[in-house]
Amino acid sequence: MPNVLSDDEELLNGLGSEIMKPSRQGNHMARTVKRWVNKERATTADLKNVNIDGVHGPVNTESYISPGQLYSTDSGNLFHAGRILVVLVGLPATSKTLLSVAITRYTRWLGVRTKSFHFSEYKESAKNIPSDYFCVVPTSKEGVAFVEKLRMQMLNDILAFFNDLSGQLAIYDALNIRKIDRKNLETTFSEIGVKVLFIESIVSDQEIMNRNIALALESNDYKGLSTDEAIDEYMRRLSVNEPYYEMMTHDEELSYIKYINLGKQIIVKDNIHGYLVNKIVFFLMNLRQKKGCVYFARCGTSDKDNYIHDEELNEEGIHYSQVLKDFVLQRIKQKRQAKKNSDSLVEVIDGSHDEDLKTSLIVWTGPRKRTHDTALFFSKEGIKVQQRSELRQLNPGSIADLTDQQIMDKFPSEYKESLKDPYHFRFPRAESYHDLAVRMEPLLLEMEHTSKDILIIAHESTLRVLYGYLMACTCVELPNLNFTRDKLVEISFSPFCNTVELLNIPLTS
Amino acid sequence: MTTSFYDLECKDKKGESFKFDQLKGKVVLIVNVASKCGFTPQYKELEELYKKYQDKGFVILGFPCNQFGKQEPGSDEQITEFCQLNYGVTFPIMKKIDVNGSNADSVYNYLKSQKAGLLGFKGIKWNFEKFLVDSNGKVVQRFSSLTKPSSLDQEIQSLLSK
Repeated sequence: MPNVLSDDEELLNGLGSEIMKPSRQGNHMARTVKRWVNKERATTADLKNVNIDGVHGPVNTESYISPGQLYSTDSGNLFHAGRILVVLVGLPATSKTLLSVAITRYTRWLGVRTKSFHFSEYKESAKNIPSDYFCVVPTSKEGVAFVEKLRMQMLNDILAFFNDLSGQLAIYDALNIRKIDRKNLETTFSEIGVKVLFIESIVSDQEIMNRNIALALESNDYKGLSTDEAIDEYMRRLSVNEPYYEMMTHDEELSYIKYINLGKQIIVKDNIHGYLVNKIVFFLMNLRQKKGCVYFARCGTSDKDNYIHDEELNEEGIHYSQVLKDFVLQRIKQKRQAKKNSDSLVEVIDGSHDEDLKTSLIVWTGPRKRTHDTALFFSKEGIKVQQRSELRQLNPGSIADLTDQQIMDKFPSEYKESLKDPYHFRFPRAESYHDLAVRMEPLLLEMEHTSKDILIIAHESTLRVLYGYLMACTCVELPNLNFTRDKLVEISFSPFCNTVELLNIPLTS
Repeated sequence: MTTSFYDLECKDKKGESFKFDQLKGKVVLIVNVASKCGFTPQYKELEELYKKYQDKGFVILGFPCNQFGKQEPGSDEQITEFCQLNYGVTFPIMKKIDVNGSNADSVYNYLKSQKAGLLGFKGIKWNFEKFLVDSNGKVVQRFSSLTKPSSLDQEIQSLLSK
């Protein structure tokens, strides 16, 4: 029986090395600090208590650690990247808010302390709003003062985020259409060592334009107006700002990305460098407008629910598969019909792009028989089913198929440690949730890339990770999420946040 | 009453009749224009398109309209002078009209009935909305104010080659 080293002993001797005498000098292999700083105690999180994602939640908890985070540092900065300000550039309704929220979700998932600062939110909470506040150069004295005040508030909050809250990535969401505004931002933040990256969003595709304008008209800016009146008002605002729009060019000597027609084309200026910045670029290359939903379902049952054997479905499992297929297809049809009949212009536009289910729904399963066989009824309907190796369940290693009591008996010290940090703990020859999250990242990017409805049939462990990303959960919440067989989880997308709905699968019929 | 594009008629800037049957066999772009609009700089690109394809059978007609934000307040003479002086416009500018409402010009009533615009609405939403008509008199495309004239180059080229 090999000795089990404590954390401190392992750190002193270095991972994988022979045990050395404590008195030995100059051990350069040893890590000088623990891998995780300030772990937080686990608490239970129930799916039903939350139906809006946490992407706008605060990041100022000292002990905050993200699901996909590889390591932590005292300063909070990761990837040797220092601090970064992302500045969005573009006219109204060019998906700037969508971009800022998506980048926030993804980078937070990686562990970067990210926060978006939306001009529209500052305007919402202001008083005595002048009528020309939406102009980049307001005509009235009150308008000029108002816009300047909001800009100063935003700048001060961003500086506080960097300096007081150990923020690493701030996203500035406003028009920023003039060269002088961009130059000022670059100058202000360069002086304090913050790298500035501009992302210009351009929409010239009529279909995307229609949808974006419809979304914009649903904001508070246009409350009380009929749709016709709202469009006129929108065009008036656009008309006022259009003459001031200076598209980004090489001459400005700034780092920028042009994101055109929601990712159909991306132009990256050649002076962009740095691991984290390039990770953002890669993410943008995969980001697309979402029209469908993502659905999560467990697989059907087998006789022994055993990990070691790759079991087939039993009778109950086959029945579940049939019911699941009928329920999912019915739900998607229902939802699309509701879109066509909706009062919301966005929904009507989305509904008008309705397609045959065979081509607009895709089903992903894990590589194991139970998950794939649960999707057989979808295959019979002509719907594409793909086995994804990334959806392989968390590998339990030495504790495979053991009960909690058996784990306690056989691995008492490991069991105790696992309760302290269920997300990161790894049993012998097993994976941790963290390992699972890291290996699933390519799948997350692929989800961002598709605009179809997606149904994912998988083990609970993988569903937790996927849900955790889409709903911006913390790594404390993630291991405690519950996915039961009687529930279909539906996640809907909008530019500002994702929402979840739990649907009862009618298994008793 | 069934109307074809070529049955339409309007007044030119001098108040004289402009019959659309003279447009047969030509590709036509029709734009409601204004002198004090954020999109007014689109005149430059419209003129570039006109110069590039005029010899191949392409025509642009500009219809001044003061219905959106009071951005075309001048007289017909002032409008013509503005276009020529500021943008070197050589394509025809018609007499000022309404494009929406009970006084809407018959040309625009026809165009709006053929193609819906932004968000599916028939009404013209702002200055510099554009209709593209092929050489058979069919309204094939409608573009919002946001669409830059330079991005229409490909469409025009393919219609001219038919």
